[in-house]
Amino acid sequence: MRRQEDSRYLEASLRASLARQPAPKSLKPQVMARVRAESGREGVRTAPARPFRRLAPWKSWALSTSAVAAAAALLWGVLPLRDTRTDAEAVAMESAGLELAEVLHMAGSEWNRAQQAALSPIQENGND
Amino acid sequence: MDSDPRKLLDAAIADSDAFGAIITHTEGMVYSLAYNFFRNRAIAEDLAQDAYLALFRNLHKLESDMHLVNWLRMTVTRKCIDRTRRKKFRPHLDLDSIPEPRVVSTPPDPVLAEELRQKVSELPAKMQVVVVLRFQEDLKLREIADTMGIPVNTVKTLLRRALIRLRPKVAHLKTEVCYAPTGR
Amino acid sequence: MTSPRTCGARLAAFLAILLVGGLASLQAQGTGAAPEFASLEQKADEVVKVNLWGRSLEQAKRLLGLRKNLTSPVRSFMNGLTAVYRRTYRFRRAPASEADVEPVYRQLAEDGWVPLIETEDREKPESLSVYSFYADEEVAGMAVVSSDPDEVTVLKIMGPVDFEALSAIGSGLGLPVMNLGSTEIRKLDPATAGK
Repeated sequence: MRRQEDSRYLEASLRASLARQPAPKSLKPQVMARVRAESGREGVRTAPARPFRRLAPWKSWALSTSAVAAAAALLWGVLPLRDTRTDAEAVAMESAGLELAEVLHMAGSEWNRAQQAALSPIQENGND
Repeated sequence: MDSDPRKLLDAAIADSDAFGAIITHTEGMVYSLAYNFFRNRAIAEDLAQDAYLALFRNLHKLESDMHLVNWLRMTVTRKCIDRTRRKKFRPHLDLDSIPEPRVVSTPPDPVLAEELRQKVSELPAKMQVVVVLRFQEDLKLREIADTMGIPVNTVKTLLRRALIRLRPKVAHLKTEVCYAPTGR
Repeated sequence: MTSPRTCGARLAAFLAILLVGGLASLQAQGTGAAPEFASLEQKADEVVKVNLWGRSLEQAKRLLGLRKNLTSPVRSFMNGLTAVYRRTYRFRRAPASEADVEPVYRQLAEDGWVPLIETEDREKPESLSVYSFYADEEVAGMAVVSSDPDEVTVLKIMGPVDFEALSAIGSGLGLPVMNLGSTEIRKLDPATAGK
């Protein structure tokens, strides 16, 4: 009986303790800024379907030549805008910066984890 | 949620500003899931931002507004587990994670609630997700299983183990609370 | 009307692109090439890909470089990077097995990557390996492979690697990731810069 009471008490307490709470006011504006940045950029996260495939030499040459030509044509048209530092560029920079920071954080974090694991032969078993 | 199954989704796909409506509808859930997991406002907010950005990238794949809610739950819980896994080898401490100093005359329930939240945050990651989805979101076991992508029986086991871990602590707290002077 | 100075800038930019394109082409076929993960990609339910090199990497560096609290070693490490790749494969329907990850290790070994640290959890099917890539006896790249049944992540960072700076970044020092960029972006925006 006591056990059942405890269970009910525990569950009720958990419901009260873990009740939803309001998100901070800053959340929505920050998400919207990132969403606008995301919708305004191209080519950072979106990758070719097989980005790491080794290509036949002629394909590689054809691809890099056409890519260079396309990039040059794009740049030829866009270059004069660079001095004015448009919103689009700022947005692309923010997206690329976030991606770089995220990958570097992950790499650093994993490097620290690997070092720690290598130094202590018995790893902690924090997650069952 | 609206009766039109894709009202929010279609609006958000057509206009990124309309994505704000989705955030307004769901931010309490998303933020609370992350907050109840980490007990850290900065991490919860950061994780919620990431979840919404992932949602924005996947809007076209979702079938209904209800699907959207389930997808968000699933994404947030997965991100919580991911982040725990990445950080489990390094201690994390910031001001948010330090509980407020307790006052002797504090009514018993807030004390218990804080202790309980702390105990929940010390559970293993998957157990913690089950507990949060069960008691914050009030999901059924089947729904939790779908959200986490694991069998219902595993959810049952995780929940039972979590409650077993929490029960003695709470029983102890309950006794303490019942007999503690309340200052009245 | 185009001034000779603008023409010169365009020409320089075109030559730079040619150089970057050539280098990328060489890299795609050289020992530092990123491996192919077709089998993982086919099996995964969710794939995250990040490719940063050339212009996108330069933009990223410029943005992060605006941070005032960037430490000098971190700044220097970041500026030396030539390419950054991330591949994350998430598995919900069928878990990833050791056999799924095996081609990643094999590809890295074939490409001349040297394992620095390899860890494996005896109780859980989790592993974490860090590789480095050497050119002229200097570390010229780093790769991380972390795997468990739910997720496999491969990171490749090309360029001289300062492991101390990387460690600081991983500990949240030197390059804080929170709320990144929003204030700095405003500084770049001519419409709001004067306000």
